[in-house]
Amino acid sequence: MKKSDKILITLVLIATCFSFVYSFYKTVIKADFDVVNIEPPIDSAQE
Amino acid sequence: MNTIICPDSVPSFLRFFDLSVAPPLLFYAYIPAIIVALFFGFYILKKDNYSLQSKLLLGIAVSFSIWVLNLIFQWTISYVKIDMFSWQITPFFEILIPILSIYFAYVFLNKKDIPLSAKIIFSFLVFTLAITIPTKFNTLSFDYQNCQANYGDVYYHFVYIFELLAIFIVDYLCIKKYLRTSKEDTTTKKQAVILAIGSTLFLTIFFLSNILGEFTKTYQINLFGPMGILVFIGFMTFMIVRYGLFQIKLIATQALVLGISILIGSQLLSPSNIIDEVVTASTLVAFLIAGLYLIRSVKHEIEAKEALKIANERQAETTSLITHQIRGVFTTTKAGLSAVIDGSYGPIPQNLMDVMKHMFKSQEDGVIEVQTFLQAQKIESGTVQYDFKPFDLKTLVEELSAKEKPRADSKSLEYEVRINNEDYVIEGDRVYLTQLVDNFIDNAIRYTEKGSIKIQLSRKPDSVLYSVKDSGVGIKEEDKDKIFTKYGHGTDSRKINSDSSGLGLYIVKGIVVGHGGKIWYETEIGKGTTFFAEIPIKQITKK
Repeated sequence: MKKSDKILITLVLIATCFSFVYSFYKTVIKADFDVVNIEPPIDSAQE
Repeated sequence: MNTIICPDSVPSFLRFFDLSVAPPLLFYAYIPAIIVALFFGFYILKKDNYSLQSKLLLGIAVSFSIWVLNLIFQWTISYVKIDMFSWQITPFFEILIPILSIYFAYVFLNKKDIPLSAKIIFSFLVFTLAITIPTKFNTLSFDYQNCQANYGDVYYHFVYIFELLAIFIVDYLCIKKYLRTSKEDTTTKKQAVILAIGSTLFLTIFFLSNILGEFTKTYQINLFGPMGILVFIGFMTFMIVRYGLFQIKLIATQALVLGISILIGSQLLSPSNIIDEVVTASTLVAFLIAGLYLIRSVKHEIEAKEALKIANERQAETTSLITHQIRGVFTTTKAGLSAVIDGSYGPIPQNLMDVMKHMFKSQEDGVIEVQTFLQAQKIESGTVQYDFKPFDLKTLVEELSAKEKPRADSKSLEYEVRINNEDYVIEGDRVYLTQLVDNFIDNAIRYTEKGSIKIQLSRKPDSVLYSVKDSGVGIKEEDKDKIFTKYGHGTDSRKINSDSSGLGLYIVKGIVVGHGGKIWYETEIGKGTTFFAEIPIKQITKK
């Protein structure tokens, strides 16, 4: 494998791993995201 | 609010096989397809000696499988936080599929790696998408009532546009290859057409279902997206046929029967009433009987093909052995005659010397004939071992054209060698390419009675083009398909050279193809023929 390929793959892999781990931490552990449309729609509630 | 309330969710974590909630199609069609796709991907990787294109094919299979598994996850997951994470990583795997499809199409069609600039663009796309995963550019919020994430700008303005663009890029690559391939090279043309149809269907079904499902909020449409995997498997089957992997049929059938049996059998583990369990058990037994019969039939077919293949190989071995023996006899006799002509056994009368020289020439021709035959056999069986090393093709063309010039001069032919002043160092087998260069010139001189011969070498960005133009009789319409075939003589060529074996251009074509290049000709009756050979500068990386 060429040196340039190794550099590109390493950069992408580091960014991906970091991003996945941080997303997992932020979303699954910290639950740091907005939840919308919580209430059921009015018409279905009336039914 | 920690758990999902949507009707398509299941009550407990990872209960994949509870068919009462998510559509049965999801499990029946997706999971065996994933198993088969991954299996084929790994098998081709091993069979194709870990080549770049097989790695990319596996990359598509893996990305697609992860994307589909993630989709199943979204349908079955019970917890909001995990569901949200699953939605967040979807665009990342979704964009890998078009990127790898473009990469694969380029390598498959051009037999070489993509340029560094394209790698930088692809890496930039993946990098950008990766770093936006945890941000609002990717997902804005989670819609509790609809059990899905609301996507941000990345999905709507980046992923979708690139997905559509990928279809056009792959088609552009295929059309470009098709138009640039000579009429004679029908195999490459067919490959470009099949790749274009297969990948367009695959990518279009996959992406259109995503786009339409997302915009119309009709998730039944999304369900059809992964059915593109069927086209993908069909496409891989084409690859298998190309590599001649017959035995994979048996393993693939076994994998498919096993995958579906597991799926049906797993339903027995889910709590249900006795009638359902009896129906499921009966289905499983019936499927196993049918599956075993299918495996047996495929096995018989493979055994028959293997037996035929062995018979053909034995025949070829016998012919090769006999031919080797004949070559041995020729060589021994030639050595004896050479010694007599050299005077090693003392002087001989002139009339006997003439006979000896004539016999020596016949022996020499005989050795060449046998060697040519053996080489054609090696090409046919695919057992040629090329020794790829960098060398200057220009020097080789200059040497051989100078060597052949006296023959052209003896026929009073105008003889021109035109080589532009550029770098012609290529990775190739010098011994075999010598045969290619020599064959074109030899044929041109042999079949041209008057006029001219022009030998030309020119450089392209990633290849060199070698051509020899003659002003001979040209190739008749009825002979055009025979030219590169085994024992394929032109009607007029037999009149000029009755001793021709009809193997020269067949061998030369094998050599060019073995170097990842292409060979073709242009001809006009009464005006002459030009033979072309395009050889890549570098051989595709195998490992």
